[in-house]
Amino acid sequence: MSWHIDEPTLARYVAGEASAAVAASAEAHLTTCTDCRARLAPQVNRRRLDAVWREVDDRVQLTGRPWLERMLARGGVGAGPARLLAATPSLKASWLGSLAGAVVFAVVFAGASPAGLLGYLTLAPMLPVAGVAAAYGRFADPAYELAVAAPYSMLRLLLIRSVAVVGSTVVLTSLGSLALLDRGWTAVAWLLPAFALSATTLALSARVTPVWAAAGVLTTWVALVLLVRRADDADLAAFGAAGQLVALAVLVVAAAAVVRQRPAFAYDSRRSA
Amino acid sequence: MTGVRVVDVTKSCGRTCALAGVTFGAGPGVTGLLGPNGAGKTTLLRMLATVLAPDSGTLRLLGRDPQDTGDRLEIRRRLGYLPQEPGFHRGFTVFEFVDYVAILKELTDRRARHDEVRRVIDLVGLADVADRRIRALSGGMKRRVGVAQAVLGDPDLVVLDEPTAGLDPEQRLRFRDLVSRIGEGRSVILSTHQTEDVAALCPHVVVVDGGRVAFDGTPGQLTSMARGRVWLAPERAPAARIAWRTAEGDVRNVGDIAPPGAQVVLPTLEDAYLLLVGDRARGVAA
Repeated sequence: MSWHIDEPTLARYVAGEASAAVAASAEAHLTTCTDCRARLAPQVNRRRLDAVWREVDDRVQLTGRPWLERMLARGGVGAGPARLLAATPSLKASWLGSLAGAVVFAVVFAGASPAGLLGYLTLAPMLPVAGVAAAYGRFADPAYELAVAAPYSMLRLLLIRSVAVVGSTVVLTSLGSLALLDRGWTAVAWLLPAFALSATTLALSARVTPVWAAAGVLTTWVALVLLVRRADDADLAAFGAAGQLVALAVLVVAAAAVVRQRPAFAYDSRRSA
Repeated sequence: MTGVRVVDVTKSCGRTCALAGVTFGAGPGVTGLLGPNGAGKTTLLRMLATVLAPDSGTLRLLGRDPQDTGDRLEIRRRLGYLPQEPGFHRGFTVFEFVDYVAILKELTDRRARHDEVRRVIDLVGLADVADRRIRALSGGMKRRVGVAQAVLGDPDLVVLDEPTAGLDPEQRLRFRDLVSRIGEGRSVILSTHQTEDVAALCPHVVVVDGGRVAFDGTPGQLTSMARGRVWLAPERAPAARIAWRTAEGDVRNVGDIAPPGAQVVLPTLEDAYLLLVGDRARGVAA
């Protein structure tokens, strides 16, 4: 190497004060000159270098990321949680599309007759439960076994995915409910049962797989709605004030059960070999 | 303390007993776990990976008790695991998937994590396909992705469940090279059907059969159990437990006693394994 960058130029380059032409020339030289790189290294601001690297890494990573991860990142969700959410089957476009289809169908059906409205109110809380069942566990997550053996809290993973799934489902279903506003508050009478059933599914997932938990919860839910309807001889009896209070109580008990059973989420929920 | 200590561990699977009092220990280096289908290998490995808890007995991993919440967390931070059928998020690229597992392994600093992800991808020779979707990879490449995620964070204990299953001979040789490098300075527990893998890689072998440890020692000790019990003959001998015609045309007989005048030959690890587990290993010998 016949020449080296002089000290004042190197200092201006490190401070970011060199002109574009000088900076480009310095960079071209630095790629081939170990002496100048050695003189440069102690002067580099490590924090600034890390920030630059993070920005470059962000941009490179962002371009190829799945659409959901890109959206979450733009919404301010950290890269780690965004990647964990992007792997959630019930947040995939295909799932959400099917969900939207089910909501549209149920809303159209609901507008046709009182029995249709009962169908809508019964179906709406089932959708987030199905989403929770498909968010986590051996049957839903292909990398579930790796996740169980990792130090990341399984309960935390289950909760962040469930919150995202229940949130997105509730938003979609609420949009459907806008078409039923002429029915008054009844149009949103599914909301509290939806949270209660989702929380119950989570609580049962400490003991059985989420799919079995959801199957049990949904079967019980449909049976209860039909039993209450027959007992009270009124289509929407299960969604009255008493029903809402019961749903609230179930929600509280299920949330407490999730907290109490935290250690049980540390192992494979199937339990057997 | 490093490694694994298993004492009288049991595990039931419904009404059947998957493990019926397993005891063995494993220190640094590669330990091979051999056994026929249904012997309880995968159940045992899932316990070593802290995915399952034993019904009874004592399990110590890296000197800690996986039943204790704090110890289990510490074990998982120092553990690498490749399940028998590793699942992948097929829409992810190789980099994204390994990064996903790195997040689960609590590698929180993004720059350090991405450097580590690149390191392990390079280690398994997948740097050129790091940006390729997993759904587009061959079976051998997916296995290497599985190994890459297992060695994230330079774990002290690596549990590999049948890493060579379904690989062609060249891929298996590559795997041996990779696993032997992984085994330098850390404990690797390797489950396999392939006695050749054990002979090539493992200074320590444990044979599991019917939920119990049938052998615990070196491959040499296992092989010596078959000394004088393997012979060549023109036809299958009635005294042979297992016999097959070799490429040379002779029948290789493996049994309790070689008949008088038989051409006794030096046993291999496979002969000894077949003697130990008998008919249950026929599928393996084929």
